[in-house]
Amino acid sequence: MKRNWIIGAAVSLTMLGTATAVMAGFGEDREATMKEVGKSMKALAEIAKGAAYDDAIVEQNTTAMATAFEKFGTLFPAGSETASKAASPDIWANMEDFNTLRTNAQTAALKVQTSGQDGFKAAFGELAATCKACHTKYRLAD
Amino acid sequence: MGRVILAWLLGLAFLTTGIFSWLTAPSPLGSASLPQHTANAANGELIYHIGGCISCHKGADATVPSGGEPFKTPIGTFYPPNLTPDAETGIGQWTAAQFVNAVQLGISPKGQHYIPAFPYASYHRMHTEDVLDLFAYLKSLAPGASPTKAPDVPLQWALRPATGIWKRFALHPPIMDDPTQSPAWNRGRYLVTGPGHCGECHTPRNFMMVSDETRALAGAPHPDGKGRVPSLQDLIGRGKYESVDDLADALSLGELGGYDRLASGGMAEVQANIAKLPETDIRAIAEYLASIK
Repeated sequence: MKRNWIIGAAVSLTMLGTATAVMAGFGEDREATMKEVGKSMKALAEIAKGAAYDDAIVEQNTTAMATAFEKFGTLFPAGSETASKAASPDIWANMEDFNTLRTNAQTAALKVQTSGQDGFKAAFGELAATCKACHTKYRLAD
Repeated sequence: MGRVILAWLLGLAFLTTGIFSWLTAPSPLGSASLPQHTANAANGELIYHIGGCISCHKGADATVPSGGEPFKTPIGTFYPPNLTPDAETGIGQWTAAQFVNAVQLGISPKGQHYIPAFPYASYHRMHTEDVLDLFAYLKSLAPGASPTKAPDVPLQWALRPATGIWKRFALHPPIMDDPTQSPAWNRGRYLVTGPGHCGECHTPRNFMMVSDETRALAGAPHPDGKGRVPSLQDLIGRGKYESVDDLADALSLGELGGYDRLASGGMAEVQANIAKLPETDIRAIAEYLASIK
């Protein structure tokens, strides 16, 4: 009887530990993914600031960003509210709005890809605005 | 005997009232104490942007500082006044002295203390010439009417006199340049601590709600009551930014440069205002901030 209890406790603790580790994994994954997005934005910003327009760079970075924004759709499941410090609890209270802002960013990234050299600066500005729209509501200070 | 006690009590009451009003009464400056200065509206526009006036004084059209939009604080909701030169609801009929008293001493044209949701404790550090330039810039705007609305703040009858006492501790002394530092550093310090009023949120307050200058820009509870305003100390040493240039880029570009830290907790509007400054001033702000350990 006693042994059953101990086994039960051990199993629960392992499960809890695993669950916590999984949730913390979401936090790390978010931060790493966002870091990549930041790098892509910096690469695109160089062009916006006057570096030579390069189709390959634009294509590579906007694809990476669109993929990252797709992935973000899986990184904020219920239960992972405290997995990273910069994610506001408001995300989970307004998941629909959060997802709208996420897909707006994705759409804007793909628009930069097809904007061509002449439309680049305007499209890039719109992309940055979608980042800011979401950060203003859902990114906490760190 | 009874009469003597009564006389004593009355005397004491007068004395207390006298000390109380001496402690709490506003003492505005007269026009004669203003510096001789030819106003420069272009510099006033710069001061307007670093002060971020629009963020609180925005009107129904958020690009016009005609005021009246709710500004929520833990002590109640303010409806910041109209800064356009409308004669009825704005500053159209204000004198320069009234404007300086309002901005630097927190005294309204009617002689009342402003509750320091208006960050005049920081503006007290400013060069009065810059305040006069700001006045000239605001006067040059198109007048916009706005509904004036008294703040929805309880206990104002007690708060305003208390503000009079608070001011004796809270108003920061004007800034003198530090000759051992570069002109850019001095300019940055002036913009950050004076018109920029960064410390109003980033510096913690003591038990009297006075900024604790021994912990300048060390981070503080968010005035909204949720979360914290981050520390600005040692931003480069702590790996938040790579260099002064990196920090300057973050301030001027925000998300446009791939920076994601300048949007939360109301900072998005602050960054948008800072972005309107000349590049040299943004670099100066970065240089000063980077030096805070």
